[in-house]
Amino acid sequence: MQSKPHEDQFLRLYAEHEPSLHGFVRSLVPTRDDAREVMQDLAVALWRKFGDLGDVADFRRWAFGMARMQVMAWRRDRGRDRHLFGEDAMAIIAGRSEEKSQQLDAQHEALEECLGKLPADQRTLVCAAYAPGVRIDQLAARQGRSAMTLYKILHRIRLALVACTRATLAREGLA
Amino acid sequence: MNPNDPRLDALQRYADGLATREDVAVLERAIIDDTDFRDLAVEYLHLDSAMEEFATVDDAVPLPEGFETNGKRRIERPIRGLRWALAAAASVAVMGLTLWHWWPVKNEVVQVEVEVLQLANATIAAPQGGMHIHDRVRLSSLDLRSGEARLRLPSKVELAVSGPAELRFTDPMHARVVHGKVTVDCAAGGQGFVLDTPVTRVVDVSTQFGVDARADGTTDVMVIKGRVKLVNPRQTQPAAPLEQGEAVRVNATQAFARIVNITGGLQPGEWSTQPPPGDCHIVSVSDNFGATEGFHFYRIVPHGLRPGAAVYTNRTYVWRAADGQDFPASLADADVVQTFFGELKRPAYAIEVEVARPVELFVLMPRRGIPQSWLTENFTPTGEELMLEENGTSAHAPSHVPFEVWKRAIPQAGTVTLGPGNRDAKGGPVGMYGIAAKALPL
Repeated sequence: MQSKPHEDQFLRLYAEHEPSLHGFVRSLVPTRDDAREVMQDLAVALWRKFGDLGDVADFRRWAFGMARMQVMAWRRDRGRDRHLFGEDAMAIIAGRSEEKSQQLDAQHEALEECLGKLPADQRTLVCAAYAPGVRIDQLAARQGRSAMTLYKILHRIRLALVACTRATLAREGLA
Repeated sequence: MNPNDPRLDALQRYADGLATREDVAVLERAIIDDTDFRDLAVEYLHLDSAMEEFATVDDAVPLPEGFETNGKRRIERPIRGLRWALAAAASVAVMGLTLWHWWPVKNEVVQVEVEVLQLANATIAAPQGGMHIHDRVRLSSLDLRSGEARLRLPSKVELAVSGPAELRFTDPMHARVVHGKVTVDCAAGGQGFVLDTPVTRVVDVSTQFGVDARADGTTDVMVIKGRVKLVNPRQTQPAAPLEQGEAVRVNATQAFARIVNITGGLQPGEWSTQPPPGDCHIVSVSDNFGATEGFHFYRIVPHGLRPGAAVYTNRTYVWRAADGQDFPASLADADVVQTFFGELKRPAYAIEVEVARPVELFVLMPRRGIPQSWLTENFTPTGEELMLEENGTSAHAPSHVPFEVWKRAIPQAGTVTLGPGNRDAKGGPVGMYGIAAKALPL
């Protein structure tokens, strides 16, 4: 018999699925700050509704559905923002993210290994650029580079990491 | 994947928050029409999200030039300028810069209607006629020489002012602390309330926070609930966020130093960055968490362990008795440390507790997981149990996380080192523990 959901279960389930949810939300909103904002609201919404979840085995699917609704609500608040995808594109991204969720989880696992393969200076740069609240223009200024140059370097690193994680997953038969 | 595909440039700008309307249109078309590009975009953005998790500013990763930490010990080290550099998220920047533009205009002092909610041993120099509980008075400034005054502004913002303190009002959403300690509660309204001090500006986001404009020119800021943003008044720099359970000391050069210990109490104004009173058995708590931990503080509450007492400084959980049991008498009214949920994955973090005299030191450890050797070899389980529950949960709510009580006799004043909390079978953390102390029975 299914035990009554409670906080202990919630914390465990949320911690388990938070990276996937974060990635999912990130793919639907334009910036990392936006994703953090949505995730904060999502965590509260999930906890408030957790008691309505019939079977905790459905947590992942339920949480992704909630995340999608949370992004929709966030979008409604910014309906005139020209920098958001339209609903068709968003629905396609959401659908694809859900279809690929296991592969994306595996990508997450592979990323650590791929980060370890980066040259030390690139790894250091990534760590500094993604540290909480960092501003690329200030980081660039401290390194004597323009912000645009730094953005491009980070872009190339991200593409290299995508290629690396794809190769890792292919080797493991997960791609 | 063709690295010269111009759509990748649009994806980069989108991921970095720099996309134009045209970029978004290009990406939309690509996502709808090109399944390969769609997969790449999804993977790219997921990876962008995951990188935040792996990023760190830690001793294990050398920082780029210009991000030196002066090689000082992590605890209470000044992080000169670093916080401003690290904390400038784009969305925050907009607000910080917006505030900057109207600040000089609104820096005048005007009269604001204030409701007096409470006065405790208050000696008031201004307003000259003094104040009485339930008064509604129009104030441009408050000079409280001693005691405490709790006020409500028309914006529903509540201020607990602890004398000696001097305050100027700009409007119902804006005040300035000339000196002294003010605790601000915006829970009932007033989101966006601004409190200036001589060296920084604190902007409420959704919160309860405390500010102490000290005689030495520095300002202490601590967040009890929610989040604030600190704005540098000297430059048009964006704001630095400070989260629940974090506290910093800001000086005139905008250097931030972590305040590791807050001495607490049960009332809003009962917090201090001074050491605990002499009858408190716990003198201080420190740790070896790195810079990734931000500015979390431990709150030492003398005689504060009881049902309903807060467990962590950055969570809303409270202690209560286990189901069907009384609150353990051995723990009631013990001096208690509110710890925080931080980077518990670190394999070997250590917390040092300094005690003032011989004590029984208690560790309140989640029952789940595997106790670590520092605990099993030095502490003894008492067989007692406490529960942790969400603050505000009804009495009929189900039981939450059980905690085991462990104790150790500390025969003399000194420092005791505690280690990581329980681990699961894979070595992952299962939660954070609490700390308490009582006098060692004779």
